[in-house]
Amino acid sequence: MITIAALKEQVPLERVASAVSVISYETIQRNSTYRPSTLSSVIPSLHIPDYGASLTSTIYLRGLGSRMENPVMGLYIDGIPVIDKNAYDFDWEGINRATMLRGPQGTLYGRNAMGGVLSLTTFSPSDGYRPTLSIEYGTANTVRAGISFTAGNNALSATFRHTDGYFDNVFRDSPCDPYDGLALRWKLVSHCTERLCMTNTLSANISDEGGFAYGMWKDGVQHPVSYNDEGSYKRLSVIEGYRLHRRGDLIVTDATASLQLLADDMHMDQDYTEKSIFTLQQKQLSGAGTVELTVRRADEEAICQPQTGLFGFYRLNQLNAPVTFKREGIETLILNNANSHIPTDIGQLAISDPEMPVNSDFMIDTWNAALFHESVFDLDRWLITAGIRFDYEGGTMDYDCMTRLHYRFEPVMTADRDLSIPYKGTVSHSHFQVLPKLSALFRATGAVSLFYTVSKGYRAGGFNTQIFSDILQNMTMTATMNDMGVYLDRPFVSVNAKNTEYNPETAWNMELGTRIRHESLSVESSAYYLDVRNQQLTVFPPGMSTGRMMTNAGRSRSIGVETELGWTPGQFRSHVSYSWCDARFVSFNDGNNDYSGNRLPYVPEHTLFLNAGYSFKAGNKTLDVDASLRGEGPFCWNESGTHKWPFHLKANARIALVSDNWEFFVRADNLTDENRPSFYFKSMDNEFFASDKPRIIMTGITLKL
Amino acid sequence: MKKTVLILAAIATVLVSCDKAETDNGNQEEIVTVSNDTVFYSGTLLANASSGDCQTPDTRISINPSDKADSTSITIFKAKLAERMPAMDIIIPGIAVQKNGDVTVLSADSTIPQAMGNPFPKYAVTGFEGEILNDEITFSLKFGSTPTSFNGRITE
Repeated sequence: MITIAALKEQVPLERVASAVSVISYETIQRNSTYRPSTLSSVIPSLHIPDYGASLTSTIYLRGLGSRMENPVMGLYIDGIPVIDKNAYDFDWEGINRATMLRGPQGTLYGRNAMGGVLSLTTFSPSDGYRPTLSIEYGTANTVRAGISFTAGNNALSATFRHTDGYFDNVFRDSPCDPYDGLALRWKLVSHCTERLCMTNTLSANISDEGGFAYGMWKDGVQHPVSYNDEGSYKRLSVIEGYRLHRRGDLIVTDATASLQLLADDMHMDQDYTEKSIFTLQQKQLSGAGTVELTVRRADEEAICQPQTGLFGFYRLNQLNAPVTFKREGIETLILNNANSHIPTDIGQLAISDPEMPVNSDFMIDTWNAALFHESVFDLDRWLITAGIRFDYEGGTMDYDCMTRLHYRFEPVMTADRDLSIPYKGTVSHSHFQVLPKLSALFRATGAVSLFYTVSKGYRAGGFNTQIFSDILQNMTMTATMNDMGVYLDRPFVSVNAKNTEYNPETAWNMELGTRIRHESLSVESSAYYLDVRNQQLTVFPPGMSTGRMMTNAGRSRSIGVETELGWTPGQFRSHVSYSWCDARFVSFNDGNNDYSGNRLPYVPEHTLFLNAGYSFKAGNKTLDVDASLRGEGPFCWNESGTHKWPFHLKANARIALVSDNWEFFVRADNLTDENRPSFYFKSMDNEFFASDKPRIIMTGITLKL
Repeated sequence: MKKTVLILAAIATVLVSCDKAETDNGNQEEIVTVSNDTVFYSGTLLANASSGDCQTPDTRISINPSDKADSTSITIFKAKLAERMPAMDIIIPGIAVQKNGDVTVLSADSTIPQAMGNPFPKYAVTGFEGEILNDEITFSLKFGSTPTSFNGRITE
């Protein structure tokens, strides 16, 4: 019997009235899924484009998602929520199962579980897995080594990965996206008494990588990656989680607590060209603590199964995000802009600094408190679930920004003037959400069930830190002009810190599905309608700002169907995941254009995963042959829908010779070496695409000791 | 009658108080004392630029304290002399001040204004003529080749 560990309790799959994807250990191994992002398309509707660096793990699910800020998916590791979005994409080892609950799970999981919840379950000492040592090598000098074993009450795993990178930066004549990363995981399970079990999980990830393999798209031609400034990302993420599980005669109590640390440092050539225009550094040090207490009825045979819980977290994030305008950037972005408004016969502004840093320091704290309840009524063939969550979240941002420059107005001024522009202050916000859920599951036969769910989820609000460099840039120009006694008709500053806050995005989901389990066949299909309010979208602020900022500018709806099929007769295995999603703006005006009715950008209309494999037995050895196709698209790359990319497929294959104690394998990803874009954006009116990784061939061995 | 005009600040008739004082020779002298405060006016600035007239209502000016007894300077804030030109603060120094009954007469044949903290010869001022009567000020001049006039009233 398959049980779902994602529902804050072990629940048989047959009792879950939601669309669920369960990715087993074997599937993880066979499909080279070693990061959450590699589950893209394997789970219907899930699209995590592979671009940039580990920081930029944008998640799209059922048409939900955006390039910036909070994710639309909750991520849990052994029941511990991962609070920081920057820690969502990481290498894993020792993962026993990945479970994805699709659709809003706000009632039990609260913030950000608007598109679904991905729950990763790691090996436990009691699982009986043999110690495993694996190493593989392949394209781009990629090495991946992993070890996992149990010792007493402990389960430990570690993985290391190195790659030279799959893309070259032509200008720097060096690999663009090298990666070195180490992930460690320790799980201690201690049965203190017959009724009390304590679990401690510690996971740590450290990585040092390049990234941002963005090549310019010009005149219909994709150019190679070629920029001059550093592109890198370093990250340390540590999550320490503690769980107490007590089974009493009347109630079962679960208490979890965690401490989470994330320190990272990103450097980016923000113009992605060979010119010295401007760079961005984003350095973050954040700490978070979470607590959750749930109690539920111990009698699992009772008609009513209530569950009540309290949740809270606090996060403090120190963020430094200086933007440095280099000489060509000062000329093109600042001086050209300013001087275009000044008749040349009056004079022209000049800045003598070789570089102009715009320093933005933030201290952001976020807190959340929630009370939730869910009751499941088991009425013979009907399973009715009703739940509600009261969720309060608040946040404060202290900003301390400063820029300084030396300017003169030629020919009037004969000497430079020193000008400093500080910008300090505090903004805060708080929001209250009520997240109800009602579902019904009808067990038509022992093998067939139908479910219908109505639920609400939300994605947390926040602050637009990225727009502060624009605010400072514009304030600098205004201050410079005012310092000279010159005033432009249109003020430079149209956005200030007070309106950089954005509110939570909410989604109502209505879903009808069916689940069939019959011998080696499993089928699950669902159709959904999502109504998204206060959609968090990036817009152009009014005025002369060149940047974009997140705001609650729109409303959208998604209609879709999802199907998963698994068939494993004998030595044959097959798996199909498919989704169709029509996600459109109901209303959205970005400040320049009205996109109502258009498709949401970056959301694939279809996702497809086809996998077929066969195990040929020969004595005590087995030859596993697996082939798979992953497909996504078509995509709209922008809100207007003028840039599109058709549906495309990528072929993968794997052959493994398996014995009781070892496995030797050869695996190929993107077998036909398709060159397709994974991400599109514009910067300074230049268009850029990131490409999917080229063909990667890996060979390796796994030893079971 | 000998006049001693003590202009310690801006010329503003409402702030001017006149006293008669005995001199050593017994003649009466009209002593004009002026507030140290800068005095502000608000009114309409009209520039007859070659590209067309540019009229800016609610333009503020100030008459500024000066060390010299018989002259002052006028600052025009956000002066806009042509539609496509950004507004700018312009200081006109060296304006002669003369009291004529209730009227304070302002004049300057030519002077180089200041903008952006420096002399701004492009807008060299010629033919400055103006007067202050009660709470109203009017003046006309040429900024370079642009005839310009201002009419305004004192502000609080």
